[in-house]
Amino acid sequence: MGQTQNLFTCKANSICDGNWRLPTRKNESWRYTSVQLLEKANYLAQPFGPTRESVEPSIYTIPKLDAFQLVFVDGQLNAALSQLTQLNNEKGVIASLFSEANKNLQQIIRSAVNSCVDLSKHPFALLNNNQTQEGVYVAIEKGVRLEKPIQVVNLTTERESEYGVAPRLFVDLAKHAEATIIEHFLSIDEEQNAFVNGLTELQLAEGSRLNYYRLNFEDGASRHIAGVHANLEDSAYLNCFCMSLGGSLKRFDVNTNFNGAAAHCELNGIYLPRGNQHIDFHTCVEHAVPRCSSEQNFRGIVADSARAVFNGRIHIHEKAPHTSAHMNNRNLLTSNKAEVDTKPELEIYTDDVQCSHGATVAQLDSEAIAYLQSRGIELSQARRMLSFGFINQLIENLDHQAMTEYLRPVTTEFFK
Amino acid sequence: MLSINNLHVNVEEKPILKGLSLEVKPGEVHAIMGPNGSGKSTTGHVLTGREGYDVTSGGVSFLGKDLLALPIEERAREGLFLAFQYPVEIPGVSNMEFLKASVDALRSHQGLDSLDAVTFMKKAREACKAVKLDQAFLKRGVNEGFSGGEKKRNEIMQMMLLQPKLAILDETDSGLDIDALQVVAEGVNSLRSDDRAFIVITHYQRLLNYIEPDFVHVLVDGKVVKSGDRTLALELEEKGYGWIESEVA
Repeated sequence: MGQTQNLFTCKANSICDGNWRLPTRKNESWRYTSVQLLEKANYLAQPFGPTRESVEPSIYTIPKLDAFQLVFVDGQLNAALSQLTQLNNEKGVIASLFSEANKNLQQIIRSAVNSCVDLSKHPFALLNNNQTQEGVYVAIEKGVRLEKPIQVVNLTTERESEYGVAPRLFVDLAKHAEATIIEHFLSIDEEQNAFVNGLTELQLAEGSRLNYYRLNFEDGASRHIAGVHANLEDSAYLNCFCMSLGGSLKRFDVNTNFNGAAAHCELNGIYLPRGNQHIDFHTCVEHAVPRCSSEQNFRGIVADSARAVFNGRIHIHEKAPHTSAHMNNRNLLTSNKAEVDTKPELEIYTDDVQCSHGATVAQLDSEAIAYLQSRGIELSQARRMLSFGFINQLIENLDHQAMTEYLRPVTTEFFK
Repeated sequence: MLSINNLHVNVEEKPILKGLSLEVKPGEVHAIMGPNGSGKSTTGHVLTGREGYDVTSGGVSFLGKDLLALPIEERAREGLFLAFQYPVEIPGVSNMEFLKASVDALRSHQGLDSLDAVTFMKKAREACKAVKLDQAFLKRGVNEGFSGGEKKRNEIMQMMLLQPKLAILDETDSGLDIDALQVVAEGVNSLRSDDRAFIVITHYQRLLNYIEPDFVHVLVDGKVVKSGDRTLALELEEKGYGWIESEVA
């Protein structure tokens, strides 16, 4: 553990200086999401006793998906449930915990971390730097295509007192490397008192391709604030899919920086808050170089007294002609008390671009309801089917059939 | 089976049906023809219970029940089926899932258990085959990206599967080429029986070459102005609706 902390002390010591403060709603990017409730709890990761060892793999295993599983319980790796060694032994793959990295790898990790994230803009990324006790570094070597997906599972349990975990992942794809990573967050006790503060960085070298799935499924009173930050070099391809449901407060910042020409990213997401849950997605695509393209599709259904926030930003720099950037955010409200704050932002500083952005907030299509009813289907069932269909459109289009088959029943179950 | 009695219907406060009456007995096929705006489609919609149609007077009884008092889904469960002129697209909900929910709802109403997946699939495949719709359409979103003809065949496929007592075809022939028209007509004809009735709403008599009606009614300005056998349809084709309209006036 001592070694790990050393990795960061040089980079992020402002917290130690006592300068770090929780962002308030006066900060524009936190305007609709209050994190003041964290103040009461101690949001700092605390040293705590041993973690639970017996965990049933069926909780997190995705059927039909043959994956390298790295299973963390309350922030600590459960080696018995994980295939870290097998992954590291795979040809062209380097995989290591931050804490277990040898001297050479430590240096590599030290120079890699925080290269994809702007710490001045992301206070929780800074906090993660200070608090993280463990991280995973995965590198895929030049031209290597890793067929088998890597599933990083983060489980949280109920502990004696409120606690924080700060998971960390760095994915480093060399030129023309290909991989699939699934970050899977789940709670395994009904009562939750975890605060998860995750930071994921994705470094995609020229021509590399990454499928990145992030499933934020913790439930109960758990809170989860995280950032996914990607750098894409020439012709790199990132396909990112995030799905969030459950928990009391969730906030995700998904940032893509185009550093090389002709790269492409797809950012898709689903959020399904209900009860008093709050889910916030902030995306930002920095089109800093020419001929890149980005597609964003985010959909949410907000029920009961829940609240959702979507803020999608496309920033097209002066030196980014021939950019194509499209963003679409669609929301359904199923209750009078539900609320969504959606804000698409488009900033363009060059000519010759193709852009579109749109956001809608609507109810279910009454014509479609009537069509289902006209075939004998009950109104309540018709509503469920249409809600499911609205979300399922994004699930059906996933690259991995196993992911579609895993998430379809999760979604069906949600609308029961 | 169906008895429409002096039905008056407003759409957005504007009278559309102005005293429509019609008797349909089991085993019969009725064609309703008429110029655009005469109230043909309104008749179909008001029978199935679509919103936005305000019945100001008159009534409809279906198999002894007050049809207009039943919610939309109850009408379907009682055996009423409308093949829509413009079937709605429902992306994300597969055709198969939709049909299973529909078949099960109707079975449950009849006190029958849900069909098991294998039996259902077999029936669904047969229905597809009957209307020459590739089975791949079962996996696609309901009507999602279907061509006009495919949507119409999908409607008839549903009818084959649901086996209604009274089926109303709302301009199912519009936009169909001859081949698709024949497929649709074969579907309808294969379901014709002594205990089932059809109302075929159409602008053209072309479809009636393939589905031979027992009665033809001409709807003008919201009511039936002339009824006859199928020779009336042929006469209409020859002389146009202007002939009836001037005769009535």
